[in-house]
Formats: sequence, structure tokens, C-alpha cells
Amino acid sequence: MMMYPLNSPDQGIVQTVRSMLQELLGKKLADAVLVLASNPWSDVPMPTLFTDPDRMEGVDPLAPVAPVSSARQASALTRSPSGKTVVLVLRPCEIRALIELVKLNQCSLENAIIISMDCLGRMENKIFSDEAKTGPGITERFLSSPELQGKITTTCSTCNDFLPENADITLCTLGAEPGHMGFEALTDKGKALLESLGFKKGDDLPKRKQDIAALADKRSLSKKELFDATALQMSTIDGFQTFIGRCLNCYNCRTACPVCYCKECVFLTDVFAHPPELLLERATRRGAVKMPTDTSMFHLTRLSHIGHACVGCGQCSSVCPSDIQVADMFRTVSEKTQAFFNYTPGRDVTEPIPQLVVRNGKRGD
Amino acid sequence: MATRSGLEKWFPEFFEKHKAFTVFDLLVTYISSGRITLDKNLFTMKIAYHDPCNYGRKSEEKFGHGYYEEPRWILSQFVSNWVDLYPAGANGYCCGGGGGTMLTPYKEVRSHYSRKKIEQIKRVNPELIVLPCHSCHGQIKQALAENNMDIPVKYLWEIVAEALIMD
Amino acid sequence: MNIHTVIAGAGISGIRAAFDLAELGHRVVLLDKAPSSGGILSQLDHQFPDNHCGMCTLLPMIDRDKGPQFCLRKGIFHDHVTFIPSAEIVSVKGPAGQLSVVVEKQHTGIDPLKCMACGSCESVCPVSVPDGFNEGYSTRKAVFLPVPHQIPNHRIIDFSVCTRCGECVKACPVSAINLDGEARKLEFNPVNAVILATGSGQYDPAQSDLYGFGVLPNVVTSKGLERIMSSSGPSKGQLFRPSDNKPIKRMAFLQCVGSRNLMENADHCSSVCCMFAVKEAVMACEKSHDDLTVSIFYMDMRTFGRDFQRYKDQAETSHGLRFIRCRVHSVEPCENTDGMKISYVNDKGMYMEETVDLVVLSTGKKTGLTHPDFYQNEGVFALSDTFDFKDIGESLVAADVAAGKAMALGGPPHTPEQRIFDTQRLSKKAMPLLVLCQCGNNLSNDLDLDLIESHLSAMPGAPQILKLEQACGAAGFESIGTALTSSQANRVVIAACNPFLFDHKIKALARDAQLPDGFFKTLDMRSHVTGKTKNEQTQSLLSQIKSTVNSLNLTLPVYREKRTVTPSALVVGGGPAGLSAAFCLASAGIDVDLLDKESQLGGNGIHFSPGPEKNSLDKLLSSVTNHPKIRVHPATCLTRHQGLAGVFTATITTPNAVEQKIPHGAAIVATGGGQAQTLDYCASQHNGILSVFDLAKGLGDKTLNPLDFSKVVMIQCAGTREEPRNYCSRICCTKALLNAIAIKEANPSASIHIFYRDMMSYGESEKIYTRARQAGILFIPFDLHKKPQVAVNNQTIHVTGFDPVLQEDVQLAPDLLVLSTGIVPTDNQIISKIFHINTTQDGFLKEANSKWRPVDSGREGIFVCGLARAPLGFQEAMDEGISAAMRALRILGRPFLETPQVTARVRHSLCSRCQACIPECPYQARYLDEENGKIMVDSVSCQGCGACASLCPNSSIMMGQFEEKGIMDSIEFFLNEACP
Repeated sequence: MMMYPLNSPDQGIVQTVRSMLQELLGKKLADAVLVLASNPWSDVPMPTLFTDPDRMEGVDPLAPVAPVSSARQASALTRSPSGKTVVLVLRPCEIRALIELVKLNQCSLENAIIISMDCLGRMENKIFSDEAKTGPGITERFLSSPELQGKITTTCSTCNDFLPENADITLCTLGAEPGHMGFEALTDKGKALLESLGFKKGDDLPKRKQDIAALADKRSLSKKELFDATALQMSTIDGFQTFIGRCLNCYNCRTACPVCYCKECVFLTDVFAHPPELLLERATRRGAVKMPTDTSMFHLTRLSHIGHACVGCGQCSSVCPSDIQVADMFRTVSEKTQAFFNYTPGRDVTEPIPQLVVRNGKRGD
Repeated sequence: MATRSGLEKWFPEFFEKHKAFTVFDLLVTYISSGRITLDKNLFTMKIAYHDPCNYGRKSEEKFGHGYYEEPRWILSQFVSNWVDLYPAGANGYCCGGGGGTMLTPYKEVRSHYSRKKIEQIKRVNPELIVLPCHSCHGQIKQALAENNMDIPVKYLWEIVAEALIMD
Repeated sequence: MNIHTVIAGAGISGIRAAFDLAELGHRVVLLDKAPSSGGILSQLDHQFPDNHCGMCTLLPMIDRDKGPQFCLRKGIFHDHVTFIPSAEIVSVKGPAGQLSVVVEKQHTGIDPLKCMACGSCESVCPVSVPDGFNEGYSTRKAVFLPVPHQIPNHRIIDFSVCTRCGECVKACPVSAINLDGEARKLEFNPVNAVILATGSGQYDPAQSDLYGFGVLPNVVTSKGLERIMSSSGPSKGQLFRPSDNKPIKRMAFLQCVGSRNLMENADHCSSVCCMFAVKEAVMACEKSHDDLTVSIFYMDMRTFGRDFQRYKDQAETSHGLRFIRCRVHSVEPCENTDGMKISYVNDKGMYMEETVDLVVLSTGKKTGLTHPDFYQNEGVFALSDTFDFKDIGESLVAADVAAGKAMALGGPPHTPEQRIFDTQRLSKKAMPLLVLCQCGNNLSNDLDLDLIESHLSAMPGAPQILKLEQACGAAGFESIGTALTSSQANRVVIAACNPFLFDHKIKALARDAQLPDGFFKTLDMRSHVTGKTKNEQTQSLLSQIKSTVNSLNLTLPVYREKRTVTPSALVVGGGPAGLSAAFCLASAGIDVDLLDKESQLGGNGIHFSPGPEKNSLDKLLSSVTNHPKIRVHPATCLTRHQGLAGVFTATITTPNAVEQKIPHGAAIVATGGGQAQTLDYCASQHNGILSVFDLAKGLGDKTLNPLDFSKVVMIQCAGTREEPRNYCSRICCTKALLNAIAIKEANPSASIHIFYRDMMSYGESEKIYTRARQAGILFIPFDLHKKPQVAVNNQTIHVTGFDPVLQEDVQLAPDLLVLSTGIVPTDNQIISKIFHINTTQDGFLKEANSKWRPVDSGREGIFVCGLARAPLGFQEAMDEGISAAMRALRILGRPFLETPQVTARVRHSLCSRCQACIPECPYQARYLDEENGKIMVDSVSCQGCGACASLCPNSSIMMGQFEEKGIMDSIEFFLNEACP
């Protein structure tokens, strides 16, 4: 892990990062770059695929917002070999989700360069948009303002996986002087790239270790509180039903989830297309039944299908029109599921998915 | 057995003029022809029969015949309550007498090798032991004494003789 | 239709032979003297190497809908097989192909057509005797179930203990019992062939007083131990000793009981006892979580099968099994306990005595059996060495050989009948027919069938209802048939009793109505009679009926593929196994392409010296090269192999480097092997050091003169039976013995010493070992820790070996040192990649299952046999070739292959191409069609196991008749019942 600190803060952090990404294309070190960038039609930056460095003035990967998990877009780009080298600028959770998709043969990371960052979290779209309207340089302001940093989503504020794994280069802000940053090379590929761009190796950022530790402690504490509260609420069937009481089966959470990858969800197939007789039978049995039916079933099914792979991106909560904190439920349960299998999603592309491991032996072995 | 062996080896011409047979053959002939008659009520106690190695396995190997059936037939003619030790016949345990070790100074060894026979006898718990070999007779008598077991030991022909009905 | 073959003996060999012929479309009558099928194996639950049962692996895999698709121990239900229990052949007359076979069937007292298997007779029977099925450790009545879990569970009466009190006759609700009956004679005429697969019993140790069997309660036979350890046995699988039900802590196995015993005229080895003793020891240790000390007292551990040595080594290290080389003379009871004393002499010559809780006698085969008088008739084929004990795999190969001979008498394979389905009727909306059987009014106190009828009529999607007094009689089934035709129903639920009882009747109904078998479901009404109130029981039955009707309604007809089979075979390798296979196939009318990489056929056989084996091989070579249906391709290599079972294509390169494509339906790989080389024991450093095979050839060809050798030393297991080459090569010990006897007979003054670890003279070869010892050849055992040392100085060979009897080294200076180096397979790396089949860690081609599918590779349509698969003798290799040919004929003998009803299909719209399913299919039936980017299932290889369906994260597998919606709905129904 090698640090390439930057000692010229004049450009500002956002421009420094932007220039670096432009250079990758300019020096033909890559054929395309997928990165968050603003555009004239949207008040929040969107993942954009660039081939022309001159078009990259709106690029801002450190902006504290992510309207969608870019893992999905990255997967679409690498679904089959294109022969092109693509730079994927992704948050740590997005990388983890991408690794899970690689395990399922949905995409491949050959010929991909992954650049990530110290993730300080994202705000919900509306909050970001409101804050951005109060003045320019929202990203720079966010990086130096603890008050703004407090406005990130619940999921982000209870996440202690904010440093990327499996990336080539990290954009480091934690531990740097205000307005300073560094590039960290996590792989040989990353090192070669940074050196081709002319960056020089240097010392680690001055307070990096302490800042990381402090943030980790804070996040862990918040996480424990949140998980305990969620678990308490879900400890009874009534509690669970209340939690998802307003669910409409709109399936937004499923659409937004980066690891929910089925081509056709079983809930859209005939298995759940109940004939009127069945619905009436159910109503007859119980006297009354809430419609739409199978809302609990949907969440329970999704928990069992992809619980092992939940990377805690929080998109599900962000997109729910009924304000159900789906992410809290998923993360609380997934933590236990993953511990049971000693499995961490996104940690290692060769680590097999627990439900797909077949062993011969006797029960109790 | 030994005699016949020796004769066959060193004096084979003996057999041109004479026949050799065992006491079993003799007794079987005498009893089945009626030449002797036996008192069936004399021996009613529990008798255990012991098969010696020489008349059994050794005889089978050397002369092609082991005397297992004959003594049992003889016993059945006048003894109501006789039993086999376990195992018996060709499988029976050697008494440890070695066909003459009583005459040697190997007292501890001889005594040690009698223990399986003693165990066999204990399991059956007879009131009398009957056998046809002089070496076994001595060995077993000695071993019983060493083990504080008070069971008499007699030869097969001895009890035949005792049961003879004289007229 | 005529019966093709009558098979006597329904143990696994008989069953295998029956299935071999049945799968070719021939009708077979299978008999057993016993009232049940399964033979010895019906009492044994676990086989090594994986300690599973595995018997169902025998079930047909091609056209599996014709046979049973549930546990084979329950019984034999194939369309083409008629099983007759309690029957024996009494006479066979006539020429082969036109035999007249008379069978006598015993009167068992109970009419199977009437019996409802209710068990009332058994509950009133006053007679109680030891139960033979549990080897006497539990009891049974005079009227009893011979094998408890077999179906139909008709009871039989053992007239040898029946007191004729008549209570059972009174108790039977359907008057199925008749105590006075006669045996009947059945005649089958004309029949092509008879196969004798009667096996032999096991030696009864009660006939010897050495072991205390039958006197001491804690002395058991190996079968007795299996029953004690079985969960269906006398102590429900707990390892308790028979006398007092205390747990067993110390166990001793005595090997060679009743075998290898000149005193009992048993100069043979029973071949299987060493391995089953190890298996039983492993099972016992696992059951008691290794809180058990097991000692095995043996003379030679005969681990002569390919994987046996490693299994034994593994067992020894994992479970601490004590292997003690000493034959125990007798078992003595302990003084005051139920334990027993075992005395033996250890390897240092010290006398030892141990106490054990259980003695297990590894009993071998029974002797003194005689063949029936028709044994030698033409057209009567006994399994080779009928009375010998064989490993399961070898028994099945022998069965295949016998079936092959029977088949040859009957002309080409019979075209199996094709099932026709009424697709129009099936394409309509689901219309169920429900048959409610009143069970002769026996259930009127327990179930309210009227209530069920009225409730169901009110149900949406209501079934048509047919009420019958008794469904199980001929009249009942006829009514169902009529109702089916008139109602045009396309799904049927029969609420009656035990479903398995009438499996074949249901199949007949399905066939007549032209509907798939899976669209008929039978429910056991009596399983709802559980002692609750009539209403509760009725409700319980009602919900099962509703759920079954519902799930049947949602079951879809399966898509069926019909694959035309290329009626020719590819045989790779022209050695004894390959030649045998080619000839068997050609004789059955199949075209064969036989390849060999050498220009001369014969494999290792070309090294044979003049003699009976060579004559046999020459005859086979001539038959093959002259056969019009066999095309021989010498000096040719296989470069590519593609396709699926029935439609393969091979690419070969001819000697003039031309590529040729050979389409074929099945392939047999018999690439052979050769003798192993070693550097141990100064192997190549002296002219007087030869391998056992080279010596045999020299003596046979007379290029070596036995009079030249006055001092011979042989060392067995040279460089083998230890890692990395840790397997026994099976034939070297017997060859070494024959070499030694040949030298000694020609040169009686020669002194011969054989250093051995275990003399693997199994089966009848034991007689050769006895002869060798009687001829004055000396045998010195050694183990891996103290191997003999060989040095070559000044042109003399010095051998130093430790003699455990003398407890010191012996020094020998032989003029001939013979090393048994063993056998290695041909390098199979390329061939295994070409065929996508696996090899073992030693490079042998791996069979699908060493017990139950000994010559199948992991892929359907590709078979492996001969030395390529495992070390074998010449006759054994030829037999395996025939066995592989018989397996191939299951495919080649049909014009087309059809998809069975429960087969996996992929719903491509749901499949995410994650490919997790491909490696998990146990039959290698799934593959990625790269051109189309789809995951495909070979419907012929697929066995409908459902592993893929349970694994698929996208629910994209459809398992024909087990669709997700149907199952989810069934679950919902049952949950509704459970939580009203």
C-alpha cells in the first residue's frame, strides 16, 4: 500500500481528482471511464461513461451522493469481454457488490481498473440537492464540515466498511491536512498507473491512522445501536409486520439493490400470480387479508436469497416510497447470516457463495 | 502310538507278521461283539472326557486316523452323563503334558501349560475326568492338585474294567 | 409375449442380470427361493467406501420410467420383470433357445392378491421364533414379514413352526389365509436361457466348537454385527452386546472363519471378508464415536481391489484399528463376566491374552454345496464360480457376462415399446378424477367419506368423483379405467391404501389412458387413522386430497425429446478387454470401430506364453479381426470426442495423418496398462533380478531354465502398496506362487524364499498358496517398517531380511531375485480430457461407482474397463469388456432414446448463466452451449435427482412434475391445515 500524497492544494481536491481521471484518458492509459458526473438535466450527479477527456468538467466522484449503486452499471459494462480497458470509479460498497456479481458470472473484472475512495458517506438525493443549492463547491464543503457529514443517510452513518478492498487506487482524504489529499496504490497495477501519471511516492498522510480509527469507532457504535434496535423491533412477528406494514410490493428496493441480479424475479412469475380463488380462500380462512398479499414473503425471500451478499449500500431504503428502512432490516439480518457462514461479501472473488457449496458427508459433520 | 511309530520306523518287518491296533479298537470290538458286558448304572456322575493330542491330532497326521469317535462310543455304552470339554476332538486343547514332561525338571513350564486345560475343566465342573493317555493322566492329576481342585482322574479302560459284569 | 430368460436367485447379481435383459426389452422371470428379493444384501445397510447403501444405483438409468424409481430394497417393479418369490427351478429341459423350465412355487399360506397388509394375522399368532432377518437377535411370529421394509408387505407363513391353530385365518378381514395349500408348478416354455445366480450361503460357525457361536451370546457373525448396527435391527442401531445390552468397548474380529482351513476341507479364500471386516470396524468406530478398541486378527489382509489398500490404511489411522497378524485358535469365555478371552502370539513371539466384549467371526462362504442337475445343460448359464463370494462390483460384472450369454441366444435386442401420450387430452385444462375407495367398508368408523365427497364437490376446480367399494380388486381397476375413458379426465388421484402395492396396476391404467404415470397419485387413507376423532381424521385426509388435486392440476406435461441413436460403437484399445467388448457388441448386431494405438492388436496379451490363456486370446483375436461388423483401426489415435449419449462423434487420425470422423452411439475406453518399474531393491543392477511377469514369460516360453536357479528369492510389493503408488496390483502374488511352484517342480532341490506383506491369493488361488507351502517354498512376512535390503556386490546379489519367527535377520545370496513390481495404467491424461472423464490419483480411469456401476464412467454413454480401470487378471479383464458392452447395449440396442417424465429442463429466461449447476450435477448432464450462450441439460444423462433445482439461485430449473408453483401451493395448503 503506497501513498502518493499531493502537496499542491491550489487546484482543490475535486479538480485534482478530475485532472487525474482526464489524464488517464488523455494518456491513453484507459479507453473509458465510468464516474459520477453532473449533467445539465439533473440536480444530482449520475454515473457517466466518458471516452473524451474534454467532456469531463462535471466529474466529481467524491460528491456526497449516489443516486444509484454504480455496481449495476459497472456490471453491464463488463458483462462480456469488450476488449477495452475501462476505469470504474466506485464506492467501497459498490466494489463489494461488483465482486459478488463476478462470483455469479454476471461480469468480469479483467481489463478493469478500479478506483475508489475513503467513503465518508452519501446524502439522500433531496438533501444533497438542497445543500448543493446553498452554494458552490458542495464536495469541498462536505469534506471539511463535520456538520454536513452528519447529514448522510442512516445506513452510511452506521457503516464501518468505508475503506475499499479490491481496488487499484484509493482517493484518500482521511488524515490529510484540510484541502489536501493523497492517492494510494493498493495493487501493482495501481502503482504503475500512478507512476505513469507522474505522481511520486511519499509518506502516509499525517493523521491517517488516527482519523480512520476514530471514524471506525464512531461508526461501530452507531451500528451496534441501530442493529440492536432493529433486532428488537423484529423480534416478534407483530414487530416485523409493523416494520414492513406499508409495503406495496413496488419492488423498488429490489431494482435498486446491486446484488439482486435475477433476470426475472420469481415474484413476477406465475408462482405468485394467484388466481382469484386462492385469494378468496385465503381471505375466507383468516376472515380478512391485506392486499397486496405476499409482501412479507417478498422480504423474507429476498433476505434468504441475497442476504449473504448484502453489502450495506442502503439504496433500498433510499428508494422506498413508503419510507420503510429496508436497509436496516437487511443489514441487521445479514450480519448474522454472514457470521454464521463466516462469509464476507466482496472480500474475495474466489470465496464461494455459501448456498452454492455442496459437501458430501453426514448431518452434523 | 509311540510304539507303533517306532515299530513302523525301525522294525517295519514286524507288520508282516503281526497286526497292531489300539486299545480303542480292542474295546470297541469286545463291546460290540458282546464279549464283555458293562453295568450301565455304575457311572452316573458327571464325567468329562479329555482328548489327548497323541491319540487325536498326532495319530491323524501320522496314521491317517484320529481316535475321537471311538472313546465317545465306548462311553455312551455305559455312562449316562458324560460331556465334552469345549473345544473338543481335533480342536481340543493340549493338557500340556507333552507326552512325558512329568519326567523332566521343567516343572514351572509344565505347570504353566496346564492352565488352559484347568480352565476348560472348571467351566464344565465334572465329578470325574476320563482319558486314555498316561501322560495326560499324570499331567492333569498334578495340575488339579496344584489348583486345589479335588476331581478324580481315571483311564478309560479303568472305568470299563470297573463296570465289567462278571459272570 | 414370450419370456426370454428365467433367472434363479434375486440377489443383486440376479437383479442386475434381470435389469440388463429388461432394459433391452426382453421379458424376464426372476425367482428366489426366499420369500423376498435382495439376497444377502437385504440385511446389509452400508457398503464401503462411502458407507452408504447405494443399492438403488442398480436401477435402470436409461428409460427409467419402465422401472421403479424408489428404493430398490422395497422390491422389484420393472415392466419387463416378473418376480416370483418362494420359488425354485426344478427342471430344465430342451435345447438352448427352446428350453422348458419348470418352477415350483411354495405355498406361503397367504394370497397376495387379497392381502391388504394390515398385519392382523401377525398380531394374533401365538408362535414366536428367532428372526432370521436379524440373525436371531430378535423374534418373529410364524406369520411374518420376511424383510420388513419390502413392499408389497405381504406376510408369509413359515409352516415349519406354524402350529395350525387357525387364529390368523379368523383374524384376516379379507379371508386371504389358507393353511392347507400345495406347492404349485409353473412351466415356462419356450425360454431362451436360464441364468443361475443363486449364490452360496455363509459358513455357519456353529458347526465348529472353536468359536462358541450359538453358546456364548457375545460371539456374532459379521452379518450378525451388521444387523446389530442397523437402525432397523434388534437394538435400533445401538452398539450394544447381545447378552446384556451393555455398550461394546472392545471388539475383536477373527478372520478366515470357515475358510483357509484344511481341517474343514476349506482350502479356499472367501475374498471379501477382509474388506468387510474393515468396513464393519470403521462403522462400529463411527457409531461409538471412537470410544471403541477394535482388533482384527488376520493371516493376510487381502486388500486386492484397487482402492482397498488406501481404505484400509485410512481406517487404521483414523480409527486406530489394531491389525494383529495371528490366527486365533478359539474363543474362551471369561470367568465371571459376559466377556471373552482371546489368546494370541504377537509379532515378537510373546503370548498375549486380551478380553473383549464382542467377538465377530468373519465367516466366509459355505462349502459342500452341489450344483443342480441341469447346471451343465446348454442354455443354462451360471455366474462364474457361482458359489464363490465376490465383491459387489465383481458380482455385477459376472451378472452382465451371464446376461450377455443369455442375450446371445435370443437374437438382437427387442425394440422397447414406446409410450404414446394423448397430447390433445393433456393440452386441455386440468380435469382431475378423484377415486374414493371405501376399503370394503373397513374405514367407515374412522373416516367420513360422504363428508369428503360433499366438501370436494363444492370446491373450485372440483374433481369428478368416483366412489368404489374396493379399488384394489380387478373389478375396481376396471371401473377406474372405464371412468377415465368416459370422463376424459387427464389427472387422477386415488385415495385408497398403500400406494406401492399397486404401482404396476397404476402404470397399466396410465398406459391405457395414454397419460403420463406422474399424473396419477395414490394416497394412503389409512395413514390418517391416527387415533384422533373421526372428524379430525376426515379433515386431515380432506386437506391431503385437496392439496394433491391442486398440485396435480398445476403439474404440466413434460417436454419430451426423442433422440435417434447411432447404432454403432467406438472401442478404444484392442487388448483383452477391448477385444471382448467389441466381439460382444458385434455379436449383438452392432457395428464397431475398434482403435488401437499399436499396429498389432492384443494389448498385454501379446506377451502371453503358449498355454490356455494364449489360445483363448488368439481365438478372440481371430473372431474380432474376421467379424464383418468390426472395423479395426490399428496404429490410430483418438484426437477428439464430442456429443451426447447416443449421438457421439469421434475424430481419429489415421496412420497417414488423415482425419476421419466416426459417429457412434456409445464408447468403451479400454486403454490398458503394463507392468510397473521400480528402482527399489537394486532392480536394474543385475541380470539375475527380474520382474515377476518377465520371469513368468521366460518360464512359459522356455527361454529361462528352472534348473539354472538353485537359490531364488522373491520380494512382493516391490515399490508398490506404499505411497505414492499405494494400491495392490492383485495378480502378482498368484503369479509369483505359480513361478515358484514351476521352478520347484522342475528343480526340487532349489531353495525358494518369498518375502511378502500379505499373500493376495484370493478365491480359489488359495489352493496354489497351499501347494506352494506344501512344496517346501518358504514364506517370510515383512512390513513397511522393516523391508528386506538388497545389495549387489561383485556380481552377487545379497538379500537381508528380518524373519519374525526367528526374530533375527536372514542372509540370502540368490542367483535369481524376482520383484513383484505391480501394474500401472497407460498414461490416461489425454484420453480422460478427450472424454471429459475422471482418473483416480494413480492414473486409472475412474468408474462412476466402484460397487454398483463398475464399468460406467461418470458420463452416460462412455464406459471404462480392463487394466485402464484397475489391475486385473486376463479373464477378469475379458469379463469387464463384456460387462461394458452390455452397458453400452442399453443405448445401442434402441432405435431412439426418450426423455423420462421427471427430467430437468432449463427455463432460459430465468437463468442468469451463473453456471453454478454444471459442476454439481452428479451425472455430468449439464453443459454450457457456448454458441448459443445457454445452459443445456442432456435429458438422457439426467436422472431427475433435483440437485440442480435445489441449487439454482434463480429457480430456473423445471423438474417435470415438481414445479415450483405446485409445491408452493401444497405447502400453503398444509400450513393452512396446521394453523387454522
